[in-house]
Amino acid sequence: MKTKSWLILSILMIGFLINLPFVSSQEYNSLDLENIEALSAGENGTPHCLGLGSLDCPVSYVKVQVVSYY
Amino acid sequence: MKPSIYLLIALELSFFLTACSQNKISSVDFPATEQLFVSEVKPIDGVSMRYPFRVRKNDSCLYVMDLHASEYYVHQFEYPSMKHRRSFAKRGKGPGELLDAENIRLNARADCWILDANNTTLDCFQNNGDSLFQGIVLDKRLIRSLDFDLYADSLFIVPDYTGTHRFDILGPDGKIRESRGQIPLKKKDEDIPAPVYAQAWRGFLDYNPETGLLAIATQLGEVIEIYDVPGDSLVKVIYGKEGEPRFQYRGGYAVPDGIMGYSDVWIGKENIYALFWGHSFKDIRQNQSIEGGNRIQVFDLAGNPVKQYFLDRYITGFCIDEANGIITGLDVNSNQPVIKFCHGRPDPPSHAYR
Repeated sequence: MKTKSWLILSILMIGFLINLPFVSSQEYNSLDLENIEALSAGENGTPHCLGLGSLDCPVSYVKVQVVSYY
Repeated sequence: MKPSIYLLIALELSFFLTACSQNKISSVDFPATEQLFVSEVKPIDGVSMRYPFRVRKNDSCLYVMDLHASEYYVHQFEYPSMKHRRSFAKRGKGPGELLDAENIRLNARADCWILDANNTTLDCFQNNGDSLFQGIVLDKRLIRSLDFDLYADSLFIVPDYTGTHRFDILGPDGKIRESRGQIPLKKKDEDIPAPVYAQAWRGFLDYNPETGLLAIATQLGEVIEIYDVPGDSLVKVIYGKEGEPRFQYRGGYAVPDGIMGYSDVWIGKENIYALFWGHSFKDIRQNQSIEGGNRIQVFDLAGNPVKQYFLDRYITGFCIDEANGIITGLDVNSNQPVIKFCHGRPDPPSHAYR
């Protein structure tokens, strides 16, 4: 009985761990780090628009490749 | 067995079921796929473009719009020879000049209409003229239209950027006649203003007067809406695997997140065609993606998936000769951007250009 209980508990724990958010060990480049800092810095500031593309920059009204937040 | 074990089992089952339902994002399964290879490169001599974005064709000419023109926004070529006929719609701040060009449309007389979002005008260049023939100042209530199509005889359809509707019908004077539809949000955050949602749900549209259908394909995410304009009804909302546009609400703006979605859409007599990118903004920021999309999704006029084409190039815009199975695309990564694909070609040709 005890063995059975432990077995069930183990299965449940495995299932729980599988569904935990996966945290990758990827390295963040400098732009990602700046983005993370910006997100934690609050909602003030304007978007930053980079490159040549088709996204509409809401600040400069120019078409850009990337719109990010600083 | 102890009651606590049963409780654990119940909790775990509920956890699993929740996880499963979250993973069931609405997805479109295409019953068929087809690889398309470039069948012909249409060389352009003497015309340099920085970002060809829109291509239109009539019986005798092909028009290409450069989104980042240094001098002229539109270039006209005789077709199929590709002999350069003229360039028009000069970039500038002077009279008759454009600050910006979002899209071009040809009417039955081969006049070329251009949307200048930064001047908030719709400008018409006649078939046999190089200078601006007519400029219509758009209704200020539109805020800033980023796409358009011709509707009925002298009207226009534009996406709505106030966020209170989905699209507007404009009169010949550029004033709003009707506003219709709603952004098909599954869940709305009341703390986010409507214009921010409109930014995130920015869509490219196409209207076919023969079918009366309007399609709007989102630039972020993977959503296509189909409207019956004369019937004033929503036909279908197609949610692709990537779902609704994702964004961060920062500083009063919608900062794109998730993926780049569609960049062009076209309604034919039989099907609806949408050009899909699918690049994540993470990859785009890290320069790990090619500019353009290499998938053309095909739906029937009721919005049912028919087929998905995989191209061997990445394009930003296209036009389709549905009867002859020819797709003309714009490869912004190539110095010869105008390329042709044919349906059902068995063997890939050797490439003369890249």
